[in-house]
Amino acid sequence: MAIVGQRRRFTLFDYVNYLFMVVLCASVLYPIMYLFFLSVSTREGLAEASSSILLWPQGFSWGAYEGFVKQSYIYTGYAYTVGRTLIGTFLSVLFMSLAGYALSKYIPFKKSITFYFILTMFFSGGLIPTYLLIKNVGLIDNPLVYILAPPFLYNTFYMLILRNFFMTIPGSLEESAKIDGANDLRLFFTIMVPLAAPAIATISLWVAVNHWNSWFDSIIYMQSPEKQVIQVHIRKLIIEQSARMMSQTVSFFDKAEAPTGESIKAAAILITMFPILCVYPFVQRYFVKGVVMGAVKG
Amino acid sequence: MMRQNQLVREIIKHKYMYLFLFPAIVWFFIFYYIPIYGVTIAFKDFSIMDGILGSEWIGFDHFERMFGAPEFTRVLRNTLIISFLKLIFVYTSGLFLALALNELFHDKFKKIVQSISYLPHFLSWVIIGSIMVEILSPSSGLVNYMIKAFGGKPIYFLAETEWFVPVLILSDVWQSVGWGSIIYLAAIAGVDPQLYEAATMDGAGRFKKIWHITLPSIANVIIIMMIFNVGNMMNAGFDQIFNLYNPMVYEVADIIDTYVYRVGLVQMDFSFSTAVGLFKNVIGLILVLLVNRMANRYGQTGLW
Repeated sequence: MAIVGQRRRFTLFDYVNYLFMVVLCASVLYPIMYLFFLSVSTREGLAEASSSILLWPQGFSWGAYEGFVKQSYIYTGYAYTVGRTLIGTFLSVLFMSLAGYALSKYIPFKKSITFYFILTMFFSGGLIPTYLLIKNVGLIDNPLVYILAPPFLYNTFYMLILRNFFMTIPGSLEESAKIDGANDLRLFFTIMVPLAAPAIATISLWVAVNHWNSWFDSIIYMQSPEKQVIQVHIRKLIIEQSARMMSQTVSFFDKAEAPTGESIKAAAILITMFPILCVYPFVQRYFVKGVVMGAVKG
Repeated sequence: MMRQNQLVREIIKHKYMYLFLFPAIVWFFIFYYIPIYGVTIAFKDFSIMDGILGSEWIGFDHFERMFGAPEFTRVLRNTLIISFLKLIFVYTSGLFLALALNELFHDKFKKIVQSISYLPHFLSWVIIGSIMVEILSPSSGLVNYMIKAFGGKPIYFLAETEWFVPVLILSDVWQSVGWGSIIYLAAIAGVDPQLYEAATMDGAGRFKKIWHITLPSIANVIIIMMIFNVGNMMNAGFDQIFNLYNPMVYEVADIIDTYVYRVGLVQMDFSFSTAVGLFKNVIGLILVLLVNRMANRYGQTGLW
């Protein structure tokens, strides 16, 4: 692109500023590249390397990844993460859109109902009472908890963003559809949802990323390891340094050619963040739009 | 009579709208309002066998115990210190980045920097925590390798009390600086370009322009973001700390939320833990109410 403002000269400030930006980008990208290089390096390669500042892979092998393909916990963890993200996001956005649409209309008691939702943003029972409730309704160790438990199925803030968007749709459209004989249900699905697509897409992305990254609900509500999400397995492997987890993983490898523990851990981190790494460049502009929209109107 | 009929007619006319809201009303009742009722166990000698209704009332015993417990003073202090440091460093980093990005000449370069700086915002603290554990490891980590290369002694960053909080703050800056700049960039984009032209005519340099035009023009956004951060003081960042801390650094890292988790769900002391959580929520609520008043006064853009 052309330089903006031809008369301005590159000063010392600009050099420092540009350098700072490069350092910032490197601080984000290098750790990820480092993990990748580490994950594909071989045991001998890493032993020969004179430093652990990897600028390229030391040797090359997909061994650390192949091990995971045989791991049962990676499969179940991934399955639960993908499942909750798809089903959870669909249901959550469907129900939030319905509620958000209803709140955008003039109906009796609308103010009280809105207040009923907003109040929960400022005061809640807290960890223990919520946990006891989930226990009492029988959702402990039940995968439904991933979809039903707060904060996922409904989120007041997202509902209000959807409501604000529905309010910008002209009422005349609705009237003409009603004259043509559509009832509210039909009107909502055939006219309102397509018109609100930008807002619905933004909220869907937010909910989906939250689902993908969620881990705490899995730790407290799920006792069976085979029902826990991928993030929890990664946590056990790396943060809790669970010896059982590590030996379970390592035992799948042939002793002589086994990748190092560090390669396995690096591969595990990358496997978990891979989907986000792939989609985030495409979805971030919707996120930005949503942030600005939420900030201006919220 | 007439009025009542009219109301009924209005409700029937909008029956679908109530149908749309019905699941939300039920869900919020179950998952938010029943737990609010459950807070009463903070004033009871709760046992799982007797349930919430059956347990005996004991008044403020748990609160007295709480204020007498040395760990409680510690977690309250840590929560406030960490929040305050984050308010100073994390919050201002987004503003600085926005100002610096605005000074770049090349639009394409600016877009690329922005996109890259957003990335950490999309990662969970489990992932970032895992990356940090790997990179900061005293034996095989990148950072300690560099320290050793320069002749220093390896530092176990995540297990030493004097290092833990700086690591916390720095990693939070790393995670949120790009994302935090969005709001300010949007605000800067709204500043009238004529103001800059006029200032250039008057011979203002770029720091003068930042100081006298950009900052005053976006002052209300800055104040409002600051105020909302103050309202959030009681949350020092559960996800981040839970994934980075360990018993060796509880002294400086244990905050109210992590304490509530440990006492409540690990030691199963439900009532006491609920009392601590209630204390936090009440203080948090008071802060939000205060802050909203201030936001209304400064920029007429409070939440309600």
